[in-house]
Amino acid sequence: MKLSTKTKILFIIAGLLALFAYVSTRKNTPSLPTLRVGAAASLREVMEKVATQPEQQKMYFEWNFAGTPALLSQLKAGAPMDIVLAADLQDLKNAPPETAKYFTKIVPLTRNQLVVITHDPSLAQNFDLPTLLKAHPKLKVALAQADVPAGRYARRYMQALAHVNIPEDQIVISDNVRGVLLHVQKKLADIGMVYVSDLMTHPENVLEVYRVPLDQTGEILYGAASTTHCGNAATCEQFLQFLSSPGTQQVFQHFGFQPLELSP
Amino acid sequence: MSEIPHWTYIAGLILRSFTIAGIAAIVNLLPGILCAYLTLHCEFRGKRLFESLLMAPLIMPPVATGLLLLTLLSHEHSVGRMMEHLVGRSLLLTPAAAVLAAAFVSFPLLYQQVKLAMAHIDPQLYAIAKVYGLTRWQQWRCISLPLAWRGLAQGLLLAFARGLGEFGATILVAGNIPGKTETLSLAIYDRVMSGHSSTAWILVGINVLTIFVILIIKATFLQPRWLPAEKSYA
Repeated sequence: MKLSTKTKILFIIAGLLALFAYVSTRKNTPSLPTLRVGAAASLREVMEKVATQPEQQKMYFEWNFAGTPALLSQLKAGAPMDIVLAADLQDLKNAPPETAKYFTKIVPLTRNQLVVITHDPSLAQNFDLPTLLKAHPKLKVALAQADVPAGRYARRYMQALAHVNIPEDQIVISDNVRGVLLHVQKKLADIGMVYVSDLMTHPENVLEVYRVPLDQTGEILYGAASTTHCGNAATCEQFLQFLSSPGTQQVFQHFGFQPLELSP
Repeated sequence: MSEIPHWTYIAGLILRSFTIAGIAAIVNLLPGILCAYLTLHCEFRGKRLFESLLMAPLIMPPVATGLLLLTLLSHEHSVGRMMEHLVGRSLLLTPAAAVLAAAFVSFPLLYQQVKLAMAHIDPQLYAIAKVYGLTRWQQWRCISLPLAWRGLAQGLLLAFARGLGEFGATILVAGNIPGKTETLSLAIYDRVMSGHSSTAWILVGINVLTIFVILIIKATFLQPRWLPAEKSYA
C-alpha cells in the first residue's frame, strides 16, 4: 500500500504523541511513605516550605490544593486524603456528620488576620471604610465569596461596622482569597480584604491599608485533621504534632501567619 | 521566591496533560462511533432525547459536570462503589478521574464529528453492500471507515483539544495534585491565583501553541472530502 506524504506526516505525529503518552505515564513511584494532604489554597507556599523541613525528609507529600469547601466535598465523596488542612477550624469542627465521620482528630493549625488592601495610595490615608464609601460612591470592593472562610470573615468585619452597606454592584466577588488579591493587584477592584499571609507572600502592586482587629472578625484559626483514610495512624499523628511544633510555627510566622500560642 | 519552575516540571505537566487528554479522546472513540451509528441508522423511541443527552456535556457548566461525576464516583453511589470494587480503591483524586472528566466533557465533539462524517456517506453504497451480502461489520470496515476516517480523526483531535482545556470538572473529581493530576489548565489557574504570572504566561503559550498545531493539522490533513476546498469560495 502506498501512503501519501500527508498520511506519512500524520502517522509520524501520531507516533510522537504515542511516545509522549508512554514517557509521561512512566511514573517515578516514590519509595518513601506517602502522606496525602488536602490543603486550603492559601496554605500552598507555606506547606511546600514545611514539607522541606529536615523532619519531613523521609516522607513523600502528595498535595491537593483547593478551597476548603471543595476539599470537604471531596472527602465526603470518599476521596482518599490522610490529612485535611482547612482555612477555618470551625469548618472541620462543624462539618456535617457525613463528612465528620472521616475525622479522627482535629487540631488548630495556625492563626491569621484580615487586612484591607488597595492599589491606590490615596485610599490608604486615614482609612475608615464608611467614610471612604461615602467619599467614593463607585468604589469597587473585592471580597471572597461567602462560603469560603476569607469571605465569611470579611462580611463579619463589615457587619461589625454597623453602618457599612456596600451596594451589590460595587462588590467584586472572587471564588477564593487569592482571587481577591489578584483583583486588587490588577486594579479590577479598588480595595479588597485578604489575609496578612497572602499580602506577605504576594505584596506586588498593593498596599496594606488597615489590619482588621480580631474583635471585628473573630479569631481566624486554621485547622488540621487526620482522617480514617490514614493508612498509618502513627504517621498522621506525628505529622499533626509536627505542624504545631515551635519550629513549624516559626515557618508559618515567616509567611505572615501568627503563632498558635497566642490563641486563648 | 523563584518564579520560573524547572523545565522538568513544565515537561511533566505537558506530558501528563497530553496523556490525560489523549486517553480521554481514545476512550470516547468506540462509544462515539456506536452512538453515531445508532442515531444515524436506527429508529427508536426517545431518539431525540437520547441525542440531546449525548450533546448535554457540551453546554453543561463544567463545575456542574464535576459535581455530577463527584456524586457518581462517591462511595455513597452504586457506580462509585462498583468502581471501587473493580479497581480496589476510590477513583477520586487519581489521573483516571481526570481522564473520566475530560472524556465526559469532550464526548459530544467526537460524536458530532463522527456522525457528520458518516451522514455524508451515500446510503446507496450500503444498499449495494446488502445486495452483495455484506454483514454490518463488513459494511463498516469496507464503506464507513474508509469514507469517514477523516471525520473520525477530526473528532479525535477536537476531543483531545477539549480535554486539554478541561478545568472545572477535573479540579473537583481529580483534585489539583502536583505530579499526579495537575494538568496545564489547573496549573495556569493555580499560578495565576498564587501570583506567579510569568509561569502562567509560559503555560498559556504552550496551551495556545498546542491548540494552534491541532487546528493546523485539522485544516491541512483532515479536511472532509464532502467540503469544497476553501479557495473555491473566493
